[in-house]
Amino acid sequence: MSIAYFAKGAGLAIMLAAFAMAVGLAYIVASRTAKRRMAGLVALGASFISLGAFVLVLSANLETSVFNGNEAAMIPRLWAGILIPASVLMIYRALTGAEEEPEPAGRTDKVLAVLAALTISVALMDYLGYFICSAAFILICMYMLGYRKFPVMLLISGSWVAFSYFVFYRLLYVGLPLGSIIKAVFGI
Amino acid sequence: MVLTNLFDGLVRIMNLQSILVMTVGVIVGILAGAMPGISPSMGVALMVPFTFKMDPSNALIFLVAIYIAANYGGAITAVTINTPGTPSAAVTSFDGYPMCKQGRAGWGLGMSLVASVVGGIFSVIILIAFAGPLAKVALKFWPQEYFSLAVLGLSATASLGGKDWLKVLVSTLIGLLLCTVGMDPILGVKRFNFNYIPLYDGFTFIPALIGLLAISEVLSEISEFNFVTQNVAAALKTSWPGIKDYWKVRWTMLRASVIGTIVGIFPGAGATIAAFISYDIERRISRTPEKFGTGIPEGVCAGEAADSASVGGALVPMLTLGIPGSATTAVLIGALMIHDLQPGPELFTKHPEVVFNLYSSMFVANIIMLVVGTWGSRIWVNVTRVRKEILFPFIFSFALIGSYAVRSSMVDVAICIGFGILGWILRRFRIPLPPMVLGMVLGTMAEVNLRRAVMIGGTWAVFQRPISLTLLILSALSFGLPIYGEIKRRKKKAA
Repeated sequence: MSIAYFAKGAGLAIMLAAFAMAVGLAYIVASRTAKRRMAGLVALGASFISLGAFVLVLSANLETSVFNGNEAAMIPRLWAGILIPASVLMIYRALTGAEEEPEPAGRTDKVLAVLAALTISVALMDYLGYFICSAAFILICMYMLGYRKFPVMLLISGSWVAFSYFVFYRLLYVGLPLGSIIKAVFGI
Repeated sequence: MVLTNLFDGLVRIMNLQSILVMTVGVIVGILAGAMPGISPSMGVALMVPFTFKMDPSNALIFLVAIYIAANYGGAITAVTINTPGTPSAAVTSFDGYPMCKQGRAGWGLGMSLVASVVGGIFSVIILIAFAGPLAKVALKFWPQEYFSLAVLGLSATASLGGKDWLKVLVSTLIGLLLCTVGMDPILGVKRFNFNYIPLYDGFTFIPALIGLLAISEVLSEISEFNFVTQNVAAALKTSWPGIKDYWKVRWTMLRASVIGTIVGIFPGAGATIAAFISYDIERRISRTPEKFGTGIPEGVCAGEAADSASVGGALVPMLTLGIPGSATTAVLIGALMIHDLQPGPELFTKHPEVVFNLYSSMFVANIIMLVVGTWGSRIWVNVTRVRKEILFPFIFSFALIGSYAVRSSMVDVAICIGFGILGWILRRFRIPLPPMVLGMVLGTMAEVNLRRAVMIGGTWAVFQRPISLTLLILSALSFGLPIYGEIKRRKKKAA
């Protein structure tokens, strides 16, 4: 089995799974040591090592020919080749106390909720169009962040839609998606 | 002779029509620059059709006024909502946005405006005085020198990340690696895009930048979720810098203007690299380097003056040799050709009035920008008084539409969100983001020129030319000295 096996198909999936396991393992092992607060940084370092290894494996399989001493894989290999030892050193420094502790996680639930709303609104843009999705996102996001004056919320989201329509869609000719459902309903 | 021509040019453009053209150009430029996704080149390109019925001189004046103002416009959103309207304004956000968070948005906006005007005017003076000789110097740069210039720019990261050099290095390398996604720039080989067509050109820079700086910042602020006290702080009346405050940073503005003009002259280098290098140098020579990034006027002025000064620099090869130094000057060359004007030495002999009208108009456009910008800043500063529950959804929407506008692609929107999440994670682990941005800015320049240099002169080509070698030695010192100093300090502390 050559290294090219891991550059596509099942081999690629196996490699990605192995990297995910390595990162997870690094986190679990680090969180059981006295430096458990650095477990996240150790996992991040492990993910950078995986990224470097990933690039090295993929660059071994690039469709390339060497031309006057250079090839497409040259620069990715160079950067990945430096990234891997630098990440190893970062993990070492994290475990020996030379690195600063990470910032407190804070309200991750709020962040994830906003990100979920954002992702859903973007995913629906092809169907419902930019204007409906962005108006709905602004309303929902304001609500999630604790704003409760509904008339103001409606006014703001409506104003944004009007602004983006006139400035971006009409004036600057940015072809914002109108949405397949909206197009079908209104026969646009 | 030059002064006489310049004065004649000034007299010719001092009519209502030309002043109106410049004012409209400045307003359009500021708005284009302030909108993420609308780059200065795009702003100029969008306005080219409106110049068809203008006389060639007014057309050029109009488009260059847009170019000048767009480079400043990017600073407005960089300072107020940490969303750089142009890539070069990313540097302005390093200190401009912290100023805004401290309730000093007026300072950020005022400093960026005045620095832009100073940088702009300085570069015009250089353009007029030394256009010919400077263009000849720039042409002597081979790929070896361009690669070394990129490395010198990358070495700036050592000071961007403060004492944590290893995290800086890792962050820079990730930026450089991200740059390798897409079509190989020399041989056209597909790299790491898994045959996914939207990634053939790699990650689009503007969406990635918006995600890394703006989205990640908003996500970090949401995770700190303490809007009650933050809103009270934001509601405080903002302060504005006075003449004395501007005078205090005069040397910073001057140095940045010199750097911006010089870097702007080199084709392909551009405003972003100029701003980064200037910020780095200013930080290194500062007596209080640790204050950079916390919201100090020097930080804003260093990036902004260099950014604006690069405009004059980029016009040097364009006007004298007909070589575009940046994307915007490429558009300008196209616009000139539409009006039957061929940039290059012939422009000076066949149409000297157009050239000197342009020079004079650049002075006037900068003055108009100062007036319009001062008035506009009073409006823009109100953004900081908006409650965060309202402002944040707007920033998300603005970021998304700005990302989409670049290529009309939902993939760019996804890239923006993806980089936002990446930036949020990296911020949490105190990995600085500016080095990654710089890596993404300089990655292609470094790769293309290194590989060209290898093709020309073999593996060690970059060490064989004296300018290239000097730049590389400077880069090594630039990156190595702060690390050496840090290690020495730690040893002293331990002892």
